[in-house]
Amino acid sequence: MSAQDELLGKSPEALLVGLARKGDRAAFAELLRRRQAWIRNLLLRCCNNPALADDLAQQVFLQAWRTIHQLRHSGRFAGWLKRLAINTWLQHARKNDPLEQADDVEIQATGSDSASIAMDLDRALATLKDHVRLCIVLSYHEGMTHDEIAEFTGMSLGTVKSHIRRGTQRLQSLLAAYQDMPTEEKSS
Amino acid sequence: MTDARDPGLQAMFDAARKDTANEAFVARVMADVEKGQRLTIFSWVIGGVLLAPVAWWLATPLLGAVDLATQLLPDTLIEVEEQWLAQLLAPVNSVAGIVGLSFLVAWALYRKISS
Repeated sequence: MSAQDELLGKSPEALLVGLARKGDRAAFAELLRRRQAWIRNLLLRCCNNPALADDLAQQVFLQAWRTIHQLRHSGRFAGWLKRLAINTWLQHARKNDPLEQADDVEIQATGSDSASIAMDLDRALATLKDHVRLCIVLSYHEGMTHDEIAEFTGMSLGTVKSHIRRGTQRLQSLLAAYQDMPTEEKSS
Repeated sequence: MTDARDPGLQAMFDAARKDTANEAFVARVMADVEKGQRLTIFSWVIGGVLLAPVAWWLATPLLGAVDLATQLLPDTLIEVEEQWLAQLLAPVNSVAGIVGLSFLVAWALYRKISS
């Protein structure tokens, strides 16, 4: 690792954003390094397809590089990036057929490790309609409030609440086997 | 319904989160960033090379048009005999004034339509 990379690795995000806005590729690469797991996870929860999630995440970061000069406040980078990711997902969902929804999946709690949980969670999420799934992911994965979700996605607050209520009920029923498990075992 | 979340589902979402570094992904995106930059530079060079002969070819007629416009723009549209009124109307009573006003109106319309 070069001295410059080491220095960038210790720099605050706002400084990196400022440098990237001026066309500094190394600063943007550091931002990418810090934020890639978050955006890829978010998109993976949305689409249940690791390859597609990576392609969409790549589009998000390329768009971020092209338009970062438009970002006025360096401190709002994370929110701006999340908005790009959500818009990219919504555009993809509009252009493509909805994911094949497996209505009759049966999920048994096969393991308590994070990979098994992620797999079963993604299978359950895949049974939800695109917009319901997006609302659920933004609420549970991103910790966003209903108001924030409505603002980010352009859906009405009533629609967001209804999507989250229905999505939660569906996931609760599909993942009932996990609901019976002690909490510490789920996250072990 | 409040923003409250089901704790069991929340625990599953938290457990499913992977915060692993992926240098291959970073390298792929940065390769595309560099490719995009090279393409932009190449496009500018090609554009410049193509525009140079066009600019040279158009230089004489363009200079003639600019010369004509410079002579024409200050011309008054309506002769006003009263000195004070002529000075008052001077900003709009010329070809340049009309051109400027037309531009402002067109811009305002464009902003209104596009907003």
